[in-house]
Amino acid sequence: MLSSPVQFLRSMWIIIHFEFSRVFLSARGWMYLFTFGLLWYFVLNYWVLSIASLIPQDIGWPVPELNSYWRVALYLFPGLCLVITANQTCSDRSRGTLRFLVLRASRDSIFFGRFISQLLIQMVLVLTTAASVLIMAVMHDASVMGAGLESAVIIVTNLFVVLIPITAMMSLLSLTVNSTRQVMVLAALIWVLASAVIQGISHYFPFFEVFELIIPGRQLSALSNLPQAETLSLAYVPLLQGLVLLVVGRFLMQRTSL
Amino acid sequence: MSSIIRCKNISKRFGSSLALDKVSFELDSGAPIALVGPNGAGKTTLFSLLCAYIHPSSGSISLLGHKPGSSKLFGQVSALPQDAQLDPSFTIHKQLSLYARLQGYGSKAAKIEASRVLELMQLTNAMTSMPSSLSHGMRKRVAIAQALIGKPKLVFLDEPTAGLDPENARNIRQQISFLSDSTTFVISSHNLQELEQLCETVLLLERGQLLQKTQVKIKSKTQWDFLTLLMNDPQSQEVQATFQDLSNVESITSKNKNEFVIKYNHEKAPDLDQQLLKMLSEKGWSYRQLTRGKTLEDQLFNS
Repeated sequence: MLSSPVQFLRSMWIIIHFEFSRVFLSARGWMYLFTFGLLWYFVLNYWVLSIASLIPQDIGWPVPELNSYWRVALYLFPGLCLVITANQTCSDRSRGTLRFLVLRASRDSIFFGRFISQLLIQMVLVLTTAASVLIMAVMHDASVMGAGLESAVIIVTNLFVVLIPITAMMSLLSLTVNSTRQVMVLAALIWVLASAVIQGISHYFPFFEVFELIIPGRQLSALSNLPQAETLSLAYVPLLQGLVLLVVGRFLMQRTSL
Repeated sequence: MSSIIRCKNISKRFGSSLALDKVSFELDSGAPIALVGPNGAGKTTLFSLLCAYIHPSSGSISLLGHKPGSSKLFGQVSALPQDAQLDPSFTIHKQLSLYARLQGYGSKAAKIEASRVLELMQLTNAMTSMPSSLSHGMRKRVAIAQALIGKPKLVFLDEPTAGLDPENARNIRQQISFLSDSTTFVISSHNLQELEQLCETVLLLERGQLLQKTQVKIKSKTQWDFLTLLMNDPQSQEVQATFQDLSNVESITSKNKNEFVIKYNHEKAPDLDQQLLKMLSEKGWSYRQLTRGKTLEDQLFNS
């Protein structure tokens, strides 16, 4: 008999592995990946690379293609996150599939296993797209290889941090409603309505502005204008948001009726 | 025998409605246990509490000495939940392999175990099927198969044969019967005949309460015993009058025009069943079935 922490880690690993196979080893997963590849082809050619030539060189980003990628990816991946991570537990809960799982794995290992797998799947997409931009930049000018690699690492790290609270928010929302569509609608409402309400209130009570920090992704506009070297200076915001959302989500997962 | 389930004063509220009201019982490991009661009695709620799908409003539950949901119970306690369906994105074999992996099997052993339980449910040909391509009955059998992965000590089956054709229902009864030496099954069903064949202990829930008097052994014996006789032809009055004259017969009650429950002194007339058969033969009466004891239905609702 395995001890609890080992069992927890083992179950989580198995769940992560299974979720990966959902995307990378199934026909439906390949269809999604193909669609994403197609979308990325157009974004890369008609957006990232064409904007790159228009960006001024003196804003703290040594490789224009990666600066352009940074500005696009900073909004593309959080937006994509709402779509691809919405169904973490809601369908399984409404279908009853979670009942089979909780007899064999703790609710914690299911919750965190699903969260981590969604985050890692997104990171595979981030890494692939960042690599494609780096390759294009190096093909254009081989001397940017070193600086480009450094930029790519910083961008990927930033995107990883940015996606943590948004994925955690989707984990939490997925526990509260019964369908993927409801999760996405709820997430969009939180983004739009909560922002509007907080902005409205802070118009009269300026101290209320601080509550904007509780909305995942609120730091994105500030982040997009920072020079490369300073981008991680705001990392504490999404990390704290992620921590809070995961604690609340974990509590909800423990209490949820299946 | 050791106590496998302990429930102490468990209540469950859903808003203002009380689904379970201070239910307490203890069950030993061994022969299958039946959980019966009308719709809305709280059977599925009780199962859900035992499987940790929901949490009790009050009271305590212990399975094999642990709280439901404890990691110590993974692989030890299993269930066929009502209306639960598999993930439509993966083949049934892949999903059952996942469950086996979570129960501690290695990758290869999990695949073998998944194949084994699917074979038990006569689903070998459907291993690579997606759940959506299976009939309702097949999906039910897959759900039962997942409950048999590994060697669970305790298995909860909520309506295991509902919606199944007679052949498959019989196969499931046979599997339960075969496995009950090593596994304690708790079966919720409306099919009292089926429970009568399988179970020795019955829990009757009604309006969220456990009726203590019906926690009975089906095969219990006192000085009074019963025979249930089902005749082919309705000959109510004549049959009743003839058998009433037999010595040591206390009473004969007629459930309907061709079914009789005969109460007799088992100690003084242990071979009354043989006397009855002889008499039926002499009279040339055709009978369909002679059963020792009362039917479960009679024990529960006409005692």
